[in-house]
Amino acid sequence: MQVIVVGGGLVGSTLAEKLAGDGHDVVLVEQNRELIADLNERLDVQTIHGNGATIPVLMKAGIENADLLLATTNSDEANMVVALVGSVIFKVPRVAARLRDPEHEEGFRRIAREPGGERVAINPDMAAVDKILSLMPVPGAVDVASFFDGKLLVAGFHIKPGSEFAGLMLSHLRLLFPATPVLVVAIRRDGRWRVPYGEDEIRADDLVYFAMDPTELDNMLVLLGVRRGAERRVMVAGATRIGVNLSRRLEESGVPVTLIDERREACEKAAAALEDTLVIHGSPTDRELLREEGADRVEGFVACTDGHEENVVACLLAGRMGAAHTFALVDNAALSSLVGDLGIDAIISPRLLSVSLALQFARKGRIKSVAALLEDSVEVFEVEAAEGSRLVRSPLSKLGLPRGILLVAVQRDDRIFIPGGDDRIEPGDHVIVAAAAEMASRLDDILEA
Amino acid sequence: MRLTEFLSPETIKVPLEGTTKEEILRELVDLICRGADGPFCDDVYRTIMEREWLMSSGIGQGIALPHGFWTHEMPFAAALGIPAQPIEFDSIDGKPVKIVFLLVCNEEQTNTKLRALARISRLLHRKDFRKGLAASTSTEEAMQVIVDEEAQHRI
Repeated sequence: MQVIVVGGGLVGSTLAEKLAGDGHDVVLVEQNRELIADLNERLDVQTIHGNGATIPVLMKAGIENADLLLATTNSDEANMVVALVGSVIFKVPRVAARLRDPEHEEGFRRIAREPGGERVAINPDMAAVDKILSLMPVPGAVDVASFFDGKLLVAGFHIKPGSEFAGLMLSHLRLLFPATPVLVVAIRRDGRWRVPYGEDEIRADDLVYFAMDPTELDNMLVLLGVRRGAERRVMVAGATRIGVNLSRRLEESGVPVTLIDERREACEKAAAALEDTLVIHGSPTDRELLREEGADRVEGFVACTDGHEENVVACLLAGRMGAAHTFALVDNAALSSLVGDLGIDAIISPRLLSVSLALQFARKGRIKSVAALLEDSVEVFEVEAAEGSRLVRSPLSKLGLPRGILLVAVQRDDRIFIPGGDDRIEPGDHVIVAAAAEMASRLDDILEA
Repeated sequence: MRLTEFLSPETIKVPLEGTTKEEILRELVDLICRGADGPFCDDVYRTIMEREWLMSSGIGQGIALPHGFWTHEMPFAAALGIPAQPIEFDSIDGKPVKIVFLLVCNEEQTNTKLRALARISRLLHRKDFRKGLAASTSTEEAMQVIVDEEAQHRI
């Protein structure tokens, strides 16, 4: 596939690297000369210097033959122009634009409804809101993805030393959950990811991704030693775009929200925009204020101010006070690697979420949905098994799947099961596959009919 | 939670008399329900067998952790049996079973049971403990192996 990525920031360069790793021909367009030099040094991707919102530069990048165009610059306007030129003038079949402003996004969605190729808007802030909302019902989870229309949940948890899972063999999981599929998809131990195979065990301090029937969540929480909050209430620090949108969505689902911001003007705007949310003017790192407002009893505490260090501090404060589940907006790789083990339940990075969404879009096809687990080192795909593909008909033990690729679950008609060595995949089955990132590109060979 | 909290010489039987999966499960149920009437024991046995039909509780390495429900004033109880000869149990590794822990609880105590199952399966993951239990020839010996193990390791 011919791919053009416009914008060489974190989002664009990560996408270019991943898609080149998938075996596509990728051209990366960036107008900052210094950034280009750095990209050339770091990436094994063809770069073009110039303004990607202009036709000559896009033509130089090969827009006439492009299959996929990703507009990922920092400017909504530039991304809009890139996407429109690519889509309308050059008829690129699939186009994605990163747009932060909801009004730009709305405009682009209207254009996207016009006949032509496939066009999607990727909004990092709304992706962050969606991510937080999907994590909220799963206390203690660092990451959540759902498959088979919500009938299978994949969630990552830190294993605390006191958890019943610490020391448990993977083969013993089925003793605890005989009737429903519960499986370990991936484990991060000592900073390295592994897709488990054979006789592995779960250890304290592992980060473990489980696939499970959502009805088993409460039992999982018992074994994990995760408690739910005393009150079904959420505290949001930061009346930012993310903070206000999150509060609105929580309001809509009937969850009481307290929103804190130290900027008076932002508080006033938020209070006008929201209905039931209690808006408090004050500092989210003020211990007394947090206690007064009941941060110790909330089910969720979300810090999404524009100060990412402040978000970390606020979450640590609220977490120590007793907030059941803390989320910090941290969009800075260096900072998030530092805070990984401090005890904040989930680090939310809008930029990395944009990368994941764009990758999902880029890889769609045989793959119905894909979730990149934390740090994008393990990916989970939902695929439909095609007649004639390598996946179909032989017993799994005879398939010779490479290490690092795991068949997690199968949906056949209305039944969901964890396939064993003697099971066979039938054409039309929906299959959840976990793959270490470096193996993901080999998935196509396996799925090909 | 410690094994010695809910296991006593009254709920340990070494060796078991039965020679089939059904016989030893019945034997352990009678042990755990001692003093109760026949229909009560039958009900407990039925819930355990229903669980076994779903999937064998033989988790490999010669261990089985069958479990079921009862309605008893004691919310949670356990029994341990060591068969005279290893017993076919349809275990996940296909090997016969040498150590059988039986757990029963009230329906609302599922959390306790789940935690106990996880704990016992982790404990039996220790090779020395497993070997010591499987090799015991009397109830007293088996009880001593458990007491010693728990004194050694805080679990």
